[in-house]
Amino acid sequence: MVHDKFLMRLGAWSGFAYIAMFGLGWLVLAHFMPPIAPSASAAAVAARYTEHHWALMVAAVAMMVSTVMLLPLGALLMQLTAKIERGVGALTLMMGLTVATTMVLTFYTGLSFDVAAFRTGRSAEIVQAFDDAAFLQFMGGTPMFLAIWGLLGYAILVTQPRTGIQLFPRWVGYVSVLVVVGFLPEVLVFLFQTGPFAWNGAVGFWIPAVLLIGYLAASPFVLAPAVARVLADDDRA
Amino acid sequence: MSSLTTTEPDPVAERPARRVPAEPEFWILVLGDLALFTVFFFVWTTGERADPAHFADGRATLARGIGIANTLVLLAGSAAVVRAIAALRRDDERAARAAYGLAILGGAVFLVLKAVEYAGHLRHGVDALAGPFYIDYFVFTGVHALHVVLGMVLLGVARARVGRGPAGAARPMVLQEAAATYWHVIDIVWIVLFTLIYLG
Repeated sequence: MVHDKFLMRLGAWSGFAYIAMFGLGWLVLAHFMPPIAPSASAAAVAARYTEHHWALMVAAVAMMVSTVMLLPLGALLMQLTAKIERGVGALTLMMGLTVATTMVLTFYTGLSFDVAAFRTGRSAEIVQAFDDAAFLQFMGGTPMFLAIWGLLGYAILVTQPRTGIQLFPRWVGYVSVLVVVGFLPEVLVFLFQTGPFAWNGAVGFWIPAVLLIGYLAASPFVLAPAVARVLADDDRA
Repeated sequence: MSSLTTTEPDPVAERPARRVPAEPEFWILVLGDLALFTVFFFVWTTGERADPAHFADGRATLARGIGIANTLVLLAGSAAVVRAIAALRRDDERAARAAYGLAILGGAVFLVLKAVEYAGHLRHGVDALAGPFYIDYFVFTGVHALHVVLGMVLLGVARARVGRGPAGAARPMVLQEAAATYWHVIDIVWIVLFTLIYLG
């Protein structure tokens, strides 16, 4: 098979584009760093959405649009996984499925924020419910997206030595496993409204935020060399 | 010749001087995991400083005997994995399997004791929502218990691989040393958790 050089290189850099677009919404427009506290009263939450009505709506749109940036990245992750396991096996199929659910999660996070911001003057409890839904699904949605790192870790640490196809250095595999470990306590955001495990706490927000932003921002510098190895292999074939 | 001297080449001296257990990249995971638990330790000390009376009350309800027993069980497990690695270096695969088995058994005992401790709290109406002390207690020890499970899986894989590949100096040791190192990490983290949570 001959790979499309342009699309593969686009995939290598699209993680960067995703974090920039999503960050434009989350950080620059919505100022969700730190997030709205889960312990905030319905009135306080509703007031935030009323006061920043337009900024939050546009932020939500930026988050929803960022879903598209995941498309080339997701396709590239599948291609690289397939290359490592020498064909479309279980790893590649699982990677495809979790990339798809991650895209759904990203879009519906933005949608929930938009519903919360869409109409001013709506009942505070309804605004708070959609605010809850947005933060809970994005921060707690690990079952939908965390497998990306778990599968990458497995592909690099277990499959690469078996098949002899070395696309990534082993440290990338260990960092991927570390991301999985760092995100494990994230499911606790579904249980606590205050403290370190709430969605604005040290364990519930700051550790995963640093891991996610760091990993995605650095991803082109790992993915681009992997793409170069695949393309060099194409040239040899 | 003294009985302590030997004509056999020293296997330690034969190895490169700056050799890292398992592989250097594996230590990203080890140090990263330790860094994550360091945040937990910081969260605990910050919480205790904010409300020392609540933490003292909470500490009084813990089963210190189970905590001590679990510490000893994990220390024994760490000693067992040291013996497993030493046995592999002298090509005694049977002893290595037995030592790994002991460490895995230790992990299982740890989890059973932890479950008994949790059940005791829940029976007395104490759960993770009974205040910051119990939130931190259940979550930190729960996340640690999850590490114990992962460590047991790693040790199980390492044990299953003992007979595979060449023996002697060419024996593949990366997985073996990684599993052993990870078990030590679990042990070290528990010792700090035990000191912070049970002893204060």
